[in-house]
Amino acid sequence: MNTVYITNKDNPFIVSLLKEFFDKISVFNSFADFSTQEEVFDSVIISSNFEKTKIEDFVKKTIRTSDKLFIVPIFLEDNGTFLSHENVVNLENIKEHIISVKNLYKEIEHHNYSSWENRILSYFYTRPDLSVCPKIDKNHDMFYYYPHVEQFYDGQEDYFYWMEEMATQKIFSKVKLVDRLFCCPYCFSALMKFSDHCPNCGSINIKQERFVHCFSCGYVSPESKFMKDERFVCPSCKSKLKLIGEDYDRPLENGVCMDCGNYHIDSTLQISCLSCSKIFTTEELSKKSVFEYKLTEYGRNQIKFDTVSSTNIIASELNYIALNYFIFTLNWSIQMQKRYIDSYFSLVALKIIMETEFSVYDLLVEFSKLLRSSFRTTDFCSKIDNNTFIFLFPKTGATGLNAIKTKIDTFLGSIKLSKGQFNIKTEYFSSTQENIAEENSQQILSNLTNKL
Amino acid sequence: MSNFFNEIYYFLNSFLNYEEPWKICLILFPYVLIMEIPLYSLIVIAYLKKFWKDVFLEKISQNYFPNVTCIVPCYNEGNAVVLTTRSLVEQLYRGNIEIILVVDGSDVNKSTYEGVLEYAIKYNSEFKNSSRHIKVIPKRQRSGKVSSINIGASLAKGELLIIIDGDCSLDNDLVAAGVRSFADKNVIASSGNIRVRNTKDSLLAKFQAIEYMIGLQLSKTGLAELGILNSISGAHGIFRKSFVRAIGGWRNGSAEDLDITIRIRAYIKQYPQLKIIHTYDSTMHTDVPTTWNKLFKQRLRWDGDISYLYFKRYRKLLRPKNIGWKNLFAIIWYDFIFCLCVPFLTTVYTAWLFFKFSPSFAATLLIVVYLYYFLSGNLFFLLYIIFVSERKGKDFKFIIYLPLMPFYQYTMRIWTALATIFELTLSTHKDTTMAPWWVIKKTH
Ligand SMILES: [Zn+2]
Ligand SMILES: [Zn+2]
Ligand SMILES: [Zn+2]
Repeated sequence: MNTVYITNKDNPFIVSLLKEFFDKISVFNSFADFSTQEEVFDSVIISSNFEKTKIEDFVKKTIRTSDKLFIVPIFLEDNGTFLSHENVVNLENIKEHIISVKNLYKEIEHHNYSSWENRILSYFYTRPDLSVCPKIDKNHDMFYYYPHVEQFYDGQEDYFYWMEEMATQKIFSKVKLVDRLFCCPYCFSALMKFSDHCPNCGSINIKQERFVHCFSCGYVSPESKFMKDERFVCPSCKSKLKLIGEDYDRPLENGVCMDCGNYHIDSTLQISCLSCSKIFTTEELSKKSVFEYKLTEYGRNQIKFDTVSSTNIIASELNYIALNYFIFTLNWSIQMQKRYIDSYFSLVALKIIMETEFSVYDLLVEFSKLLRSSFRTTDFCSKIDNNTFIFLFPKTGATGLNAIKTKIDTFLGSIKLSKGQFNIKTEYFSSTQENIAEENSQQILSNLTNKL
Repeated sequence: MSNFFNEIYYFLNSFLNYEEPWKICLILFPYVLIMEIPLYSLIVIAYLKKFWKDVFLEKISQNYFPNVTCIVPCYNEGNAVVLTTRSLVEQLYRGNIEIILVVDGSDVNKSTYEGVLEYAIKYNSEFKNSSRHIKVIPKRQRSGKVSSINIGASLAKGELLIIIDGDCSLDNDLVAAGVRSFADKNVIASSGNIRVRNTKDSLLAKFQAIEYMIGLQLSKTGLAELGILNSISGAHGIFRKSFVRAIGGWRNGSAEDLDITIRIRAYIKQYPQLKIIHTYDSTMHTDVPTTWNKLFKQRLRWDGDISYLYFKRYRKLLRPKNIGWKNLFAIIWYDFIFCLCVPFLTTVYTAWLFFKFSPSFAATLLIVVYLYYFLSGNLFFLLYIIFVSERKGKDFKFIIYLPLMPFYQYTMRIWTALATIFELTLSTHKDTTMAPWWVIKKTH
């Protein structure tokens, strides 16, 4: 068994201890030294004397991205004790673990490991008991992160969607609902600032006060304006207001703006996202659930046979979001269309019918490339089930949709001739103020997909 | 028939042209001149004296804001108690107000209990730093209004206790106005102004509204000023807690308000510096009976209570050495002669008139009597409007009902007389609805 020990301090005792257990032990004095060598190891042990962020960086950038090393178990050595994900383990356990990982990896080592998703799936595959637990951290804009996933994830897009997607595909099961957070509807960050404002001028200089409504003249004003020698006297009609319910009442207004003098019942609660600086209201707030996941038996099989949905290639090429976020975005588009006549949007629903998955892989890649060419960063794609995709093109009216339709039709025409076992059905929808007047996102989506 | 009216006209003319018309009145209605006019005059003079003092002389310390506890005995008033409570938390008083709602028989009156409890919880949590705090005390078994008030008084944290009926509304300066006079340490109790809330409901309610304005508001102010206030209403009274505790609180049985007033007066005999007052500008609004039937029942209870207390429970107390000559005289004059004897006399006298004289002469005399009551009623009403009323415009509109008031008053006085006979012969006060029978029974 071939192990690496990276330490910045001479520690002959640990080295001799490791030598007793492992067939071969290579010692490096820095991460840089390690990076230059080419050898393949079975495990890596890192001294905790290094800075924590340096260790994390090394693990992520050097180990987990390498197609030769990404699967190896990593341990921390802390003054003679060994840690695996903060759990103390003895060298006997380490050895068993290394062997187990190595054996399981043999079953899947011929797969393609160019994507981080594939690497982490194999990582989970080789660690069957591992639970993917979120950890709370105030520096993450979701307040939670998955330490295991962050070792692999390449930082291009939000991996929470990917986790959600894996759960939809039953590759992962949700073991436990850890938290439900309010978050920004635009970027799903939970880092938000709340403040209340005058509904008229937006000023934050507002005051809570009780109000009085004079029955004899209908005047409504803050209590302080009625107070005269510890009695209520209407400043407008001069009546003495003595009996609640007969002379006066308490109206619902309870706020007054110090800047514009506006009286209001409810101040406007404004939320600003600290991550994307967008401003929105409480009604627009999104909610996000944080789960603990675990690889399912079905998922293990899918990984083993490298069949974690190949249709996913479309998702990876496009601006893919989980279905609930897609519906949220669609709702928003509907609201915009209802408000502004020229805020069109278009939808394309697409169903892929295949006899076998393997045979169409290349075609799917091609198809997604075609879609990609007509895709803008503002467009979204999601999946209703394993074979049904839905695309949202904001600010695209009937003409824009026609261009997309022509492209897809041409492509489909070209493949239908050659491949009988591959079929793609499409449905199109382009919004106008009339055809969405009575509809909500669920109805539009089900109308569209039912036709497929 | 025309002869009948001609005769009346003739008699009226000769009365008016008689050199000394009051002499005729003296002969015809001696008790009116002896009993009523001096009493009315005294009340009016006393009232004017008080008004003079309030407006032109002493300004009592404005820095007296003690903690006040309002005790609201509730039974099955339902949502009305919530409205009462709402007008309590609306008080503009600067000091703290503790509101104790004692729900009698909370097991039976679940909706009342749950209604006030819900309101209290909501209010207390919504206005955490408010100087008003609501407490709800359920008494699972029904044990009467007196026990509710006593429980409230024993739990009260305030220096002053305000007893308020569960189905009324309060002016937002009731507490502030009521508390003001208590800056004088010798003031131990005060009655407050009661107005009729449901005047729109019936003509009868309007009569009672006028009766409350003149009879209660004006005369109580005068009587209090003379030191002979006859009773502090159980629907609206203010008491100094230390004093209430010293005399052992309220006593079981009917008319607990009159009862405690009699005992306080006996106490004042020993400590003459102590005072009971009437605060005319501390106003609460209540609903009165709107049908004759209900009104008669209510008065039967009140008047029966008066005679029960005077002739039965406190017969021994009504001696000069216990309550003083002045109070004894006042009780005999006002409560006994004025309220009890005069109605009898009027009835007997009227009957005698028709028996003795010709119908036309008797009718003439009745017209004179009517004119006397009508004019004195008008005088009191105007005094009330000018000096007492806080809602002058609204109250003045009642002037159109004044011509009918003597008939109402006469009917009520006859009823008082009958009620007294009932009480003295049949012990009707046991039928009071305020306390269950087993509580009443214990006190006898
Ligand atoms: Zn404003
Ligand atoms: Zn007004
Ligand atoms: Zn954001």
